[in-house]
Amino acid sequence: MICVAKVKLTLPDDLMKKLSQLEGNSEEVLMTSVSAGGDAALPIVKARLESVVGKSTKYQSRSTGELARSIGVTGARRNSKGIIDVKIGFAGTRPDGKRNGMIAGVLEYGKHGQTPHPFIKPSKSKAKKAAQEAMVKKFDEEVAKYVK
Amino acid sequence: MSNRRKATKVATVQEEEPFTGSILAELTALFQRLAIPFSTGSYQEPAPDLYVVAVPLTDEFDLYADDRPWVDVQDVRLSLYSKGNYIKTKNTIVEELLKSDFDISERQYIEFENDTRYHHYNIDVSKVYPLNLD
Repeated sequence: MICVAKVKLTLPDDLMKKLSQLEGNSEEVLMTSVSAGGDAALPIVKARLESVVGKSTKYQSRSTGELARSIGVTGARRNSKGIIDVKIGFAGTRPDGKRNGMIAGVLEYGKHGQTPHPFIKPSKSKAKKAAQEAMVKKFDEEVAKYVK
Repeated sequence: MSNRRKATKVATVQEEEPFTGSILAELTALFQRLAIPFSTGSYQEPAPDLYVVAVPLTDEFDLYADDRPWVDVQDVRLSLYSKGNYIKTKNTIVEELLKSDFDISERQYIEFENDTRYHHYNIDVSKVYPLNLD
């Protein structure tokens, strides 16, 4: 005869109630939390950008601040893999017809005759930490709203 | 994407000084071995048909214990410029970097520059150097 142990787990009623309260609002909580992370990372990337624009130029800098003004963060959305993310990037076209994204790319990666002035890669570790802290804080706030 | 925080490859301690290594010095020696023109920052004109420029990215302290860091993680961006087929050169460089215990965090084709006729390819590398603070 084979004896098989059986274990039955019953969660406390109030915890069950709280989890079911959160379930219906989890998407909103996650979206809000990720957005908070993007909002925390943006000023770090922008500050890094402003520290490299117009530095070590061959000729006198004619920086207008256009690139710094064009940086922004998208709203949170699910990507093709189902992961919620935000993107920090550059919007718009400059008066000379060139896209701000292209200029940011040249600044970050350089080209023949133009030294790279990376600002995105060096921002990653600081921005990651700030974003994680902001997401955790926002998540706790949002959960506290729904789970009483 | 490599995870440099889990890397176990640590540079050998060269001297008894607090900072035990320089990634730029090692890269200079590496590209000399490969006989590829190499420069830090920018290349002075007239540039050859094939060259590499290195730009430091970040230096970070890591592996804290007893309230101090134990390693110095140095990051550099290598920009390969090549007129003509760049792939063989790129592969040779990547192979040599890996053999020399560099961590490669990014490899990216940037563009073909229509005005200068250079292919532009970037490789981001990092290396961990132990700190000698005793």
